Amino acid sequence: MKKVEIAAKAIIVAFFFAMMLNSLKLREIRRFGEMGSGFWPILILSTAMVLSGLLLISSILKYMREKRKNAEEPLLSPEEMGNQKNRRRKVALSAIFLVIYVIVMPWIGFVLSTLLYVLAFILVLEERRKWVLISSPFLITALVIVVFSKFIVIPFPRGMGLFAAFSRFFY
Amino acid sequence: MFEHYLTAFSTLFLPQNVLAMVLGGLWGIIAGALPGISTSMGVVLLIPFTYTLSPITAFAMLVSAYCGGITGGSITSVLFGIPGEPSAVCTVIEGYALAKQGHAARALWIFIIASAIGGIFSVFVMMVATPVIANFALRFGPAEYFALTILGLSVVSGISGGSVLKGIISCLFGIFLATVGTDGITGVERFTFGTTILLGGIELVPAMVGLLAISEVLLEAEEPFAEYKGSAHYRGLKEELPKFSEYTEHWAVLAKSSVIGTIAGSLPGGGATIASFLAYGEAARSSKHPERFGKGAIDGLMATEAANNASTGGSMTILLSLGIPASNTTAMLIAAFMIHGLQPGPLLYSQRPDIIY
Repeated sequence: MKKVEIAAKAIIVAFFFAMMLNSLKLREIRRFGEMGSGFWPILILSTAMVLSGLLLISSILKYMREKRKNAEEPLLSPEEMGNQKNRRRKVALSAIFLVIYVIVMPWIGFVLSTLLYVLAFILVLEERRKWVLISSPFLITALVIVVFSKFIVIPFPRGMGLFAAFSRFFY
Repeated sequence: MFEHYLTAFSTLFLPQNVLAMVLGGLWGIIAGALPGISTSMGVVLLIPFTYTLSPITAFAMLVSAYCGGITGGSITSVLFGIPGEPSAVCTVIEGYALAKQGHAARALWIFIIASAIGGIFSVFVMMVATPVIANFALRFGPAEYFALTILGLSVVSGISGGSVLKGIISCLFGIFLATVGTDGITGVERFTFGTTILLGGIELVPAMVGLLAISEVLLEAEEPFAEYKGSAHYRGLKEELPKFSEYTEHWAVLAKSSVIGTIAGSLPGGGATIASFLAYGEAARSSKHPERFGKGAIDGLMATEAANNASTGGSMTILLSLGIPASNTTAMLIAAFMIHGLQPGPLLYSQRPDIIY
């Protein structure tokens, strides 16, 4: 059990708690004899909050037990710990780049954001061959545009200002 | 019922539908065989291509991709020891052991024929069971649907990833997402935070793509498949064609695994992976030679392949008759149904029998 996992579980508890507070505003919006709009959200969120709280507590206890045990005998070798750290870093960076990709797409358009995202994702996956790094972003973006924009006519975001003008060259 | 099947056969064998099935099946096999792309992701990637197709052609393509994906996942398992699909993990154990002994072609024959037997069995079950369950489900009222939903959620919670607590929290999070937007009864805005984007709620398709497909991409990013560095002496497919007697010898394993696969596939939260593990475990338990398991046991390979392919028919039975997705891939098929303006379930059975049959 890692500190990061405990932090993730704490965020889940905090999320359910925040949503629960929000749902309390819905409590009185109902007519006589009806459960009202707030019944299910309050029930679901309070249950989820309690259960995720239990999960967090059990994780903290597990972490403390493992910490005591590790003090006597480390569970993972330094090499294994390094690999694990590397894998987690890859997932975290992949998720961060994905979020950035979704956020910037309406501003800079699909073409540019996809080009940059594919390049970043390949680098995160530790691909270092130059021909793959150079060709993949262009090939993938071109393929997606041809298939989705030209063939099945799905409107992609063009971006704003200068970026919109750039996107109009392609679709 | 029979006239519906006859009409369905005549429709299905129209050139465009045959082409759709061939292309869908081929894509499914490729997607299943590639370790980075699972069957559900293969189906997701195919959905946009079906926008412009008629619903029948679209579903012929998507269901073919689904079945192809489950089969394709075992190709890399046998040849390289890399499961293309989670459901092909047991195939790696026996199939790859056979390949290392120089019987890769034999393992391929066995898995393809066992897959076909399991798949065909579950299709027959689907053809018989779907109308019966759907007709029964037409009599369902709100209480029965509520009970069915609770059953689905409790099964999902119980068998999701070993932690019941996490399973229940995930289910609750799913229900919470469904409450976002305008309440259908009172018209009150829930969790919209003043934006208009969330007024209509969170659509099922983006939610499923975001939660299922993207999480799989992240999982693959964490552990990309290892490069294969071994070598196996290859004998030709003709040389390695198994004798008919090998199948008759293991008929009980094939029958049992097909039944296990169909039942496990029909359980919400079940699917091909659980089906293959259950059938593999049962085959190992009842085998006369359990010591051969892990070293290229033919009955182990047959069991896992018959079961994971049989699960497709089980999942489709529940999807078509009750509108409940039993696996990730059938959840994606629900999204495809919705894109084509259809709602899977018992009503679709009476309203659009042309598509269901």
